[in-house]
Amino acid sequence: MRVLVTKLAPYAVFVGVLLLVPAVFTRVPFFTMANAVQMGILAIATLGLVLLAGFAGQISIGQAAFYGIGAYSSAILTTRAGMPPLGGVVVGAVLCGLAAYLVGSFIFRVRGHYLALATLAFGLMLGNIARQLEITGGASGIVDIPQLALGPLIITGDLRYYYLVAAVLLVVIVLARNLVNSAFGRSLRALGDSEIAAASSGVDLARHKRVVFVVAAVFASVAGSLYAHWVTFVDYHTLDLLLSIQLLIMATVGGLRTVWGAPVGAFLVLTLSQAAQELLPRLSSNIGGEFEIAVFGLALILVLLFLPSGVAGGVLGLLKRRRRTAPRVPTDAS
Amino acid sequence: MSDNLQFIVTGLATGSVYALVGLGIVLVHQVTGIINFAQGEFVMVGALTFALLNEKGLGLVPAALSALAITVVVGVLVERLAIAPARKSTIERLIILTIGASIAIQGITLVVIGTSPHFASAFTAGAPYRIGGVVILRQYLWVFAVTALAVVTLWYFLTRTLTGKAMRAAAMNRDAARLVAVSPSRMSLLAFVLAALLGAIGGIVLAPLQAPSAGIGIALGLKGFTAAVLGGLNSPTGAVAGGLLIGVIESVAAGYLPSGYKDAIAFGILFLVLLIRPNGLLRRASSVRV
Amino acid sequence: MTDSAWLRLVGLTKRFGGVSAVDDLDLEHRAGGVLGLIGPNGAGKTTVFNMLSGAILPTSGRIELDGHDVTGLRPDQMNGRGVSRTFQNLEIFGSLSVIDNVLVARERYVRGGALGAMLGLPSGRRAAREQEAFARELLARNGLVGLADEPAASLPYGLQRRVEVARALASQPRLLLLDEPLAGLSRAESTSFATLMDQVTDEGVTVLLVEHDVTTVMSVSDRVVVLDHGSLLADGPPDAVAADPRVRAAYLGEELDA
Repeated sequence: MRVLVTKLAPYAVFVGVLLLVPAVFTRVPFFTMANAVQMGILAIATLGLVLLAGFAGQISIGQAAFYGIGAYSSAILTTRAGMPPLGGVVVGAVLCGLAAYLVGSFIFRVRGHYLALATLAFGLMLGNIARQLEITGGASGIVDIPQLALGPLIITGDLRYYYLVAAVLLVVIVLARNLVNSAFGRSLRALGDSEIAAASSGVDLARHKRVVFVVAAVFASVAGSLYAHWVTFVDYHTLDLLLSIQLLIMATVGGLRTVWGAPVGAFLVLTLSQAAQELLPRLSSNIGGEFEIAVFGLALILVLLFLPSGVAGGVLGLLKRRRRTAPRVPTDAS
Repeated sequence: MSDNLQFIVTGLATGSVYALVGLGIVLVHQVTGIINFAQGEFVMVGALTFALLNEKGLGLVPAALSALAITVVVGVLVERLAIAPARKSTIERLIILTIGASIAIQGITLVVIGTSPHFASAFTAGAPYRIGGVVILRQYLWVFAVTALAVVTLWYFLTRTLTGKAMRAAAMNRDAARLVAVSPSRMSLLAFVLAALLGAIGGIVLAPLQAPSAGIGIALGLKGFTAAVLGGLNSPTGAVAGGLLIGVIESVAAGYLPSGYKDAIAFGILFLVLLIRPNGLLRRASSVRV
Repeated sequence: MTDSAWLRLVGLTKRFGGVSAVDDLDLEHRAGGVLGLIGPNGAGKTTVFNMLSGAILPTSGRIELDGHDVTGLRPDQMNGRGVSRTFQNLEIFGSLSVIDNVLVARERYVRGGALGAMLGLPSGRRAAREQEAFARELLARNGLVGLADEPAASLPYGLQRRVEVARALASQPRLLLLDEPLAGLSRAESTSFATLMDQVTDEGVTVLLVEHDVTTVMSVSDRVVVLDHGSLLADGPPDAVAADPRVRAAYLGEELDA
């Protein structure tokens, strides 16, 4: 019973926070529920990157490619093939997983910098192609994507959509934590620390990397689909390099080695971006809000230099240290 | 036929700039082991400063010198503030750091200068030359000459001067270099200074051809990576050859395909080369398995 | 001898560029005991070691283990065939706890895959508990009692070496490759090494030991093979090898007293 409580406690806290968000975001003038939806969607995509780059040490600067595949799949399947939105999300995720399996079968022939460049090139290539092809609507994209519906219930409005996104986020967090805490997850962390030692201990590097690549891609795809059905519009910007970088920033700022890094990172980075958009124009009349990118870059450098395990990672580290020092005396006595 | 020749000449001109970007990436990678994702931003800073000062009426030479100086300052700041303190980090973190540096430079430039492009005049005025049916802008000749000069000077520095040799020693074996009193930290700084100079030179010769704005760094940096990877990431000569090659391929492809595919082709080549011949087009693959 | 050879290298060759690190090496070994592999710097010891563990591919030649050709297998496949190794420059999993370091080598016993793990299926749980018990016992036997839940990176160097050995043993290898296991250890830590060797070989594990400290190699090995310039220089019982004038010549300038 006690074990169950400690096991479920983090989820209880997280659910509490998720439920608190609407209460806060609808009252504080700074935030809107649209912000919350966006944070949730990007947290889902970031979570995949945390598993891939954080735990397994396999960096990707092309994660937006899979987000884009999800978004476009939803768009094409619902507007051109008449599929219901939920089907679009699921089929999109499956397609994306297959694509990732294919790409993952050979992209891990390279490592480190080469992997970073290869994922980058993959993302850019896909972005460029999506802008040209007819099926993706060329440069103008695809409009009139139907809103998500669960049976007869169409999920309209940012508040309702937020609850949906929050539920999905909770599910993927549970999935990710299960994975991380399993034997498979342990091997992932091991290969992130030392590939040669992991391989010599019997870990099939190619398989493990491919699997986590697929998981990350599917998370990104679901996020992309959720985005497409929310804004009911998709164009090549969903595959933009800037989104790939933004996901990397969120994962790093939140914490690369904890699943909580994803929601924390998404919240912090989007809050920062929101703040920058409000504040920067006040500094000077000719500075527009889009210059938030400067803030991103500086925040990223500061976190990497001074808080290398990210905000969530740092907080967890503090909690752990307190738990470690506090009950020491009684346990030693017993 | 003359169409093709025209594409090649135009491609060689942009390719020269890619070559300079690639050269900066190779240099930093050899000496520090880091892929500098901010290299394209050095080109942007050089080009934009040059164009801005030139617009304000400054002459070519003072504008170019100021652009070089400012870019070097940016390079030094990047190295000292972001790279040097994190030298012991893992590769993923260093990659993310230089990406952070890259977007920070871009963002600060946006805040200081804004989004609009600026225009620099060609180094020498006058009608383009025509040979056969091929049009050769005067600025192209400047691009070729300056690039060649920069490459030769760099080669001379690396192979004929003591500091240059020390840098190559540091590139080959960082620990051994320390033993013979070559400070890796100073070499890293020097590599970033040289990379910034190369970037700025590329930016300055490019500015009259393509009015620079704060956003051009990313694309240029990506072409530079492609050049560097084509050449094997560790070969300065390879990077130059790779830059020229990618410039020509892009230009020819743009002549025959819808213009939007130009970039897709460049990145497709980057992707394929990385997966099929990660050691570059010229070298054999190594046999290390893990 | 041929019939009972368990480990066999046939014409094993590795060239880096134009240089032969290992040149047409033939070697046969029965199962059991400690096989010491020594040689001056650059003799090709590490290259042989890396080929045996699957870390690098031979240029030509064959490796046979228990009658099977295992040439060109990957490190994880070699591990599956009963070969495990340690590293000269420690390669522990710094972000894992001590017990998790050992458990990585037991993943194959906890089937269920990634999808099952994500869905939290109970199938793998019992297997996981069994593996944990196995790992705790292994740690205890390797002098790591009470350290199971410590972060591996926080241990002192000598203990990290032990974690590596425990991890290598966790795969229950038939051939254990030890790469300079004594490098950086104190005298006291080195002496317990002989005990460990006895313990391991008693369990029927064959040990291939690459070590710089010739004295220790001579004292713990049952058979010593000397490499020089990638070829076999001498082969035999420790005292015969130590007495061999060619070995003394190859080690000229290096201390050799056994």
